[in-house]
Amino acid sequence: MVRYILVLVTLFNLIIASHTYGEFINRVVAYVDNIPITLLDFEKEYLKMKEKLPNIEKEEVISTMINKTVLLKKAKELFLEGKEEELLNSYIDLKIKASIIIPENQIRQYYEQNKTKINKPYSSVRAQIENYLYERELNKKLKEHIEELKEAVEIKIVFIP
Amino acid sequence: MRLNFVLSFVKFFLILIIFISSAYASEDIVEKIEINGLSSISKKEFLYLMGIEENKKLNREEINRGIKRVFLKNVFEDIRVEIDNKVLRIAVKEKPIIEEIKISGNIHFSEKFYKNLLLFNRGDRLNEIQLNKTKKKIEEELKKRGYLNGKIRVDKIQKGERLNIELIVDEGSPIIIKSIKWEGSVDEHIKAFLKLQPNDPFDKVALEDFIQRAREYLQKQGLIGSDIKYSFKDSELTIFVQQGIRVKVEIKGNESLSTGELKNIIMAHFQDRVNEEIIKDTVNSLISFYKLRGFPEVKVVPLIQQETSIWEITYFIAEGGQKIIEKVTFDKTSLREDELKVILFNKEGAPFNYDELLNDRQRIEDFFRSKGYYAVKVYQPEAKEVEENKMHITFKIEENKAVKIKSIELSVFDDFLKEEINTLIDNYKERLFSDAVFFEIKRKIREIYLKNGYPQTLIDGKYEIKEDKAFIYIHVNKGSKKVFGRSIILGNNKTKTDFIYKRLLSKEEQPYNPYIIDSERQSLYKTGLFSKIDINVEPYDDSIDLIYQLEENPAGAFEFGFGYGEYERAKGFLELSYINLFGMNKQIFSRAELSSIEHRTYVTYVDPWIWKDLTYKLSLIYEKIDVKNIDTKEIIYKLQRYGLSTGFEKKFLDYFKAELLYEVNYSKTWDVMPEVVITDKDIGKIFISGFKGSLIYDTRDNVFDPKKGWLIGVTSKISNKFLGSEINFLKTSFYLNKYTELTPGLVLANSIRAGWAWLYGDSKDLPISERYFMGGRDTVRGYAQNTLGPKKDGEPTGGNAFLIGNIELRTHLGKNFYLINFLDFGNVWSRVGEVSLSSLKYTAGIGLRYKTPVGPIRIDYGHKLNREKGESRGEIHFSIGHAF
Repeated sequence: MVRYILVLVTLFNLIIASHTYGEFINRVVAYVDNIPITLLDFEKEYLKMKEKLPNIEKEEVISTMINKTVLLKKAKELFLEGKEEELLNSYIDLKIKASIIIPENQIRQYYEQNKTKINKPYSSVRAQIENYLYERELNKKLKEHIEELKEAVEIKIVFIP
Repeated sequence: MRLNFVLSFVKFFLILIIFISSAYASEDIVEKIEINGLSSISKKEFLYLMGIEENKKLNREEINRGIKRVFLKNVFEDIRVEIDNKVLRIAVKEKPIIEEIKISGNIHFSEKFYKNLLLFNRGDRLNEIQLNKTKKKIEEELKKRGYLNGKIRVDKIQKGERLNIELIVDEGSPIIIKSIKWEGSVDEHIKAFLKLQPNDPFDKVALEDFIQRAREYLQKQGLIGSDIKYSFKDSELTIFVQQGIRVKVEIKGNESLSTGELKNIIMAHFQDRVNEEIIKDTVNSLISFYKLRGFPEVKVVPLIQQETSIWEITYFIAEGGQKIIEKVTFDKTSLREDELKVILFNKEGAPFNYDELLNDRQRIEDFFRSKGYYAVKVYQPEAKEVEENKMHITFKIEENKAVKIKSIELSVFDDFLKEEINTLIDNYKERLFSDAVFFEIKRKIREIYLKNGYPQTLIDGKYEIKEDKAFIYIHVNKGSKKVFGRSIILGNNKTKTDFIYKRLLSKEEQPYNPYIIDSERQSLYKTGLFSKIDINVEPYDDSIDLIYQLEENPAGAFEFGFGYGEYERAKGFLELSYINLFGMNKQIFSRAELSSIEHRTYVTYVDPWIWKDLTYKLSLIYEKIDVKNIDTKEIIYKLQRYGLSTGFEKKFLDYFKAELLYEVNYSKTWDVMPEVVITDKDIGKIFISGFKGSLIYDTRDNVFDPKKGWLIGVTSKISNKFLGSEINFLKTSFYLNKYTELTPGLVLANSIRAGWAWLYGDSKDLPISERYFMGGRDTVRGYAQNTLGPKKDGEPTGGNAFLIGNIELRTHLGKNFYLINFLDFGNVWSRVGEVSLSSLKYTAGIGLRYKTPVGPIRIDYGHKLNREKGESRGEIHFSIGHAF
């Protein structure tokens, strides 16, 4: 009962306080060159990511948003068009995926190294291995590419909400 | 029970408060806006970009968008927005401005060396990336010069919005060259290019410079593929030079084409290597070159004599005959043959090119299709040698029926714009069909949607051909409607943003139309302030923001020049101008001209946008002239004049310009030859005040060197004692110039000019400073400057009326030279009533022009055709610019 009253009182105080001291509308959380990441955008992204990854930290969300902003900036410089997701995909296709080739011997080598764990014939798992190696290479190259791009732009985290 | 009831009531009450407060918050009206920390842009621009206004509803999404717009300015670090009691408070943090850059700790390299490597300047906003890049760049440059341990430390001292940057340099000790060893074929000349000596730092920049110079030297010696390398080990620098191969080329058997042009083709292949493969390429290039000139049977055989350092290559050429196309015929065509002949590569009278024959067949087929003959068939052309080296080509054509557009079916989601599209479609019905027409219809329909706010419109279409009828089906997906959002101006450092906004159209909330953007771009270029204008779009769900990225031209200019004129002798000018006063495109021009007979200074202030596109002008002039007889060098009169003119100019209907000026002149005339005195106003001081109006029509393609177009103008000046003038007169003159390009490189220029003065009230004669004087370099060139017309004791007195005509042929001689032939006629008369065509003076002549960016430099000789006794045969004139 006491707890219940406390919650109600706190809620009441918050409402009063919010009207006494003014309401915070928006601000800049971080920026990449002349592109800001706003608090409003951050909150939307944070809620979205929290649903998928409940333990995600705010710093990680900001970092992800910065990476996305860097890639979008570069995509626009290449005159790619479309909505954000389309732009990102087009850019990754053009800059990263186009250069990834998984040679046959690499697939075979992975199979040989993990043969005991896989315990299936090569022909039945070949496509899966290729897919796995492709995704691994894509992640690695994307990470390297983002780091390279980040060195050429001004990035500043203004505050962590 | 009771407690529970109270708690439930409290709970209900709080929920009500939350609901009301949230509803109230979403309906917040901003009554006042307070901004702190803003100095880089005006409050007006800031609020416009933020999308907020006082007494308007608070829109969080718009503020979010606004922060992004404002940030594009690249001067902000943080923007915080809060609302308190209907007062919107915005706290802005801007990036500091670099006020001072200091270099310290440098020993071996000058401060200038380091400052040249900076990627930022004083006055720039701090950019950490540029700062880090500069640090890395300097460290790399030090390493290249042998200072491997060179380090830079950056100290930043911020005072409010200002920042002082100090680059503290620790150059460290360099790697030293103890000895230099030369290997390969080195001569003293090559060694002299190296600026390094033992005990110098191991400077890779100096070594790269040496390699560059040595390579250029060896190339000039005719050596191909020279190799120069260096290595550095145990403090010893070793330089290895391998001289390339000398190639001697000889050509035999070429009769029709010159050895020089063939050698150029060959040597273009031997840039950095010589081998048998490259020689094969040279042979192919020579064969292609010959074939292009009508030698289909040409044969080229190279003979190579190879020694260690010399290759001697002899090309034996059997040209075969040069085949010239005598006739091209078309077997059955309803189109005009001359139209078809124009599109062919193999033209009558041109060298025969077998390789292009099939392409010509395709060209004809495409041409027929574009004219609606969709089922046309052009057969393999026949090329016959009818006489020795004379070719006849025949194209056999099966036209079939021309296809006409029978129907165009349109499928759209709604009837919006359908009427406009139907009108467009109706214009195409029964017209000849071709792929080009099909694409044109699609393009024009899309254009209608684009102009009405549908930038994502997609047009799908197909057509069916049934016999000689085309049925077209078009499907339109217009996408969502967009309106113009905000305009964001970037890159204007000197020009006021407010000025730029005034040049843009008021288009916010109007349907988005990309064609408007082009007209805005033209309007901005017209100011002369910008060298580059990129307009990018930032689309949102319902609107599109435009981002104007500008690059500014230098606003100021200083020019000077000197030359020689046959009348003024030595002359020179000095000009200073600035076209962006106060960042508002207001302009000031000042010019001083000085010669042995005249001194003129004027200052002009121009505001091209005083009201919309109405131009305001104000000019002040001072001049002092000694008017001389060009032959006897005697002073005719001396004139000193102070003048002021002010008024407006307006351009309209693309080619018209109207001007209305109020002019006042105070002049003093003295040392006047008694022979030229007509009125007592010719000597002494005179004040003239009046209005001058002009109307000009100008369609010339180039102001300095026109090839086509018209220049027509009429000017009237009225002077009246009510305006303070000492005499009453009305002067009117007109000119009509026409330029026609007869053939490329040949321009016919015609001009007719006339003027007359009418005196009224108690004024009887014009003063000498207002009378017309003609003859000379720009009027009738067989006569010396200002010597036409009435004379007293052999001296020209000037007159109240004139008529001048010129016919000029301007022939391009090649490079920048032009030959001019001209016929001039005209005269000056004391009164309009005395004008008589029988008293016109005629001169013909020849001239030479050298074209420069500010007009041609010229020399003309005019010969009198109706010379009078005692007159010279003709006159020579030097000048700049065309006569008219």
